[in-house]
Amino acid sequence: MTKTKPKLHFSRKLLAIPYALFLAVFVVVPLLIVVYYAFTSDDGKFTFEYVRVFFDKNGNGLKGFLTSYNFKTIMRSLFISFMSTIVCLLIAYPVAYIIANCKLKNKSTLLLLFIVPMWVNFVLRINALKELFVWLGTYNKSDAWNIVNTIIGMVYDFLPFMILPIYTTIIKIDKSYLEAAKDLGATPAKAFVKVTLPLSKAGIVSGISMVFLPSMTNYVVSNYLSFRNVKIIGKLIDDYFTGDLWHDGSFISLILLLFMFLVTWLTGGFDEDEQTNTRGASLW
Amino acid sequence: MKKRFLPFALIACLAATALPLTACTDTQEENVLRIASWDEYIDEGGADSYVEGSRALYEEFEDWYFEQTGKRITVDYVPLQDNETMYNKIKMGDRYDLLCPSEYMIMKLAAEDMIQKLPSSFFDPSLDNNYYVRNVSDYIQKEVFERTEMTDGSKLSEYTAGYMWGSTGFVYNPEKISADEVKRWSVLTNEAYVRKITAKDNVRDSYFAGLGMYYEAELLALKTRLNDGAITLESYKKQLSEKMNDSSVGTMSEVQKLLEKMRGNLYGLETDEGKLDIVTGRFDVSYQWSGDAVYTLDMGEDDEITDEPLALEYCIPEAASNLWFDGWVLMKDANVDAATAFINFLSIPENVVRNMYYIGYTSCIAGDEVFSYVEETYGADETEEAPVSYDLSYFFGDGHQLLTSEDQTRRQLFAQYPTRDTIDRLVVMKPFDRETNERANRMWNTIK
Repeated sequence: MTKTKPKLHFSRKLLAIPYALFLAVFVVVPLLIVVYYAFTSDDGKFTFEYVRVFFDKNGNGLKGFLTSYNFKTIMRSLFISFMSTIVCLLIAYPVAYIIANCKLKNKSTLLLLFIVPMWVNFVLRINALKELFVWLGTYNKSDAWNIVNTIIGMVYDFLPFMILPIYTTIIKIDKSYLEAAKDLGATPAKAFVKVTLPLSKAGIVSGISMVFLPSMTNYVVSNYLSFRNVKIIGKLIDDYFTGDLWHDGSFISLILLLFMFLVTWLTGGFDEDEQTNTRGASLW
Repeated sequence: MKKRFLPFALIACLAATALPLTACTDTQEENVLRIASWDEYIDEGGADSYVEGSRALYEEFEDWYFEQTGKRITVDYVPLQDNETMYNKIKMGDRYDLLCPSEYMIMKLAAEDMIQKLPSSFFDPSLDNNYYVRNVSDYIQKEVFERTEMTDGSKLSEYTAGYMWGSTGFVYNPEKISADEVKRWSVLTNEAYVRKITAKDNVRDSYFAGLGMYYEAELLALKTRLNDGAITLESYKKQLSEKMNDSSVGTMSEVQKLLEKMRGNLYGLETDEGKLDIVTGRFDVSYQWSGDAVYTLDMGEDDEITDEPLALEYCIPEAASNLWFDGWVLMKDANVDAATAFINFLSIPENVVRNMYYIGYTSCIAGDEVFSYVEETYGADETEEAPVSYDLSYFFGDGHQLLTSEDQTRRQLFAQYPTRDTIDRLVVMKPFDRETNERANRMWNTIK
C-alpha cells in the first residue's frame, strides 16, 4: 500500500483478481460439478451407488476390490508414475547440476537444448518414439515391454519439467555456503550431500509433483506406445465419460484427486515455510 | 478494497454470461444453416476432390440454394468426433439444423424427442428438387429404413434420409490366414492367432462381436435351415435381429467371458491405427467398418506406403454382421426448408459421386450415374482374362450387373457393395437403453 497517495487504492493484491476469477470459474466450479455428479443419480438424488460400483461392483467386499480391474488399473498407474518420476529424477538432477555449475557464459543456451524438444508437437514426438520402438522390435512385444515403453514415453515427455525447477534452485544456492563447507574441511562429496542437496530439495519436490501427477493421467502416451494395451487411470475416466456414464467417471476423477492431494501433502507442498523459501522454484 | 472488488467481479461475471448468449442468438438467425457431421465426411474441394480444384460442397450449396430459392444462406459445417460427442453437445444446449448421426444415435435422439420427422413434401417425387426420394436406393429405403422400427413405433424412414452405409467385417491378409477362418467370429479367440488380430475400442462394436461369438453356432444352424427352405427369409431375419440385439443380463455375462478371452488374445484395440498397421504387417486381421476397410485395402496397393503391394481382403462373418448407416436428421426448431434442400443437394448424382470419391464410403443413393462411377472404378478392363459378373440389382435395380475381376468379389467392391446373400445376414444394432448402456459400459470398461 502506498500511503503517500491515499486516493489510489491500487495494491498488488488487486492483480490477483483475474487469477482468482479464473480459479473460481475453471477450477472450483468444475470441481463442484464433479463432486455433484459423483454422488447423485440421474434424477439428482443423493447416492453412494457409484462409490459402491467402483469399489465393490460384484459385492465381494475388500477382497473383491483388491483383485478388481479398477484396483489393478490404479496400481498400474501408480507404478508407471512412480517409475517415471524416479527415472526423470535420476536423469534430471545430474543434468541440472552440470548445467548450473558449468563454466559456460550462456548457461541458458545449454538449458535450451533440453527445452527445445517441447516446442515440437507432443503427439508428433510420441508417434516418432513409437516408430523407434517398432524399429527396435519392442513395440507391443509383450505386456512388460508395453509398460517399459510407456515409462520411457512419460520420461521423454516430462523430463524438462523435472530439469527446470531443479536447475532454478541449484543456480540460486549461495556459493559461499559451499566455500564455507570446504573451509571447514568437507570433501566435495560431503559438501554436495550436506549443502547442495538439502538446498535444492525444493526444486526436487516441485519436479516430482510436476512429473508424478501428469503421468497418472497422460493416457495419450500409454495409448500410442502400447497400442492401448496399457490402461492408466486417466484412460479409465475417459472411457466412462465416452460411454455416457458421467457419474462413474466423476467418482473416479475424485479418486484421482485424492492421489493428487496425497502426493502434494507427502512432498510437503502444503508446508508454509517451504513455500516462502522457494518462491522462484515453485514457479516451475 | 473489498468494496471495489465486488463491482469488478459482478461485471466480469455478467460479461462471462452474456458472451455465450450473444453467440447463441447469432446462430439462431434464419440465414445460417448449422450442420453437425464428421471430419472429412463431405467433399471439401481442393486437390483431393473428384472435380479437382472445386469448392467444398457445403459452400457450393450456398450458391445452389440462392439459384433455387432466391434466398441467401450461410452454411456452418461443424465436424464432430463421434456420436457420443454429438449427443453430449446437443444435451448441453448446442443448436444445429441438421445432424448426421449413426443409426443407433438416430433412434436414441428420436426416443428422447430431440429430432423431428422429415416433412411429407420431402418424399414427394414430383417436386423438381426432391433428388433424395427419386435417387435413394430401394434397398436402403424400403428394406432397411421402412422396416426398422423406432421405440415409439414409427419407422426410421420417417426421421432420416440416408447418407452413407456399410457393414462391419474383417480386413485380413490372405497370405497369413484363410478366408474360411475369418468367416467365423470365433477367430477372435483363436489362440493360433494370438497377437495377430485387432478389434474396435468401443463398447457397441465389441459387444456385437461378443454376441457373434456367443450365438455363432446357433445362427449358422439357422442359416442352414433357411437354405433348406425350412424357414422363410422374413423369419430368419427376425430371429437374427433378436439374437444380435440381445442385451439381457444373462447373455451379457456370457458375452463378457468371451470378450475377456478375446482381449487376452488380441494384438490390441484401436479406433484408427489399425488401418495403417495391418498394411505394414504388424498384424494380419483387423475388425473394421467397411468404409475404413476400403481405405485400408487401397493403402495396401499404394506403393508409397508399401514396397510390395499387399492384396488384403475383406470378409463379413458368415453367421451375422452389423449393418450401419449415417443419416441426416432435422433437429427440433431446425430451418426445415434449407436443411431438406441440403439433403437433396447432396443427393444430386454428381454430388453423390464426388462424396463417394472423396470419402471412400458407400452412398445410400443409387441411380445410373452412381452405377457408372462404380463400374468405372471396379469394372473389369479389356485385359481382364476371366471377368466375373457381379450382381448389384438389389441396390441399383434390376439388370445392374457388373463385370469385374475375380478378386474384387473379395475386395473393395465387395466391401462397398456386398452380395445379396451377404446383405441378408446383416443386422441393424439398436441403441442400448439407459440401464443397458450402464451395464454394457461397466462390463466393457473392466475388460479393455
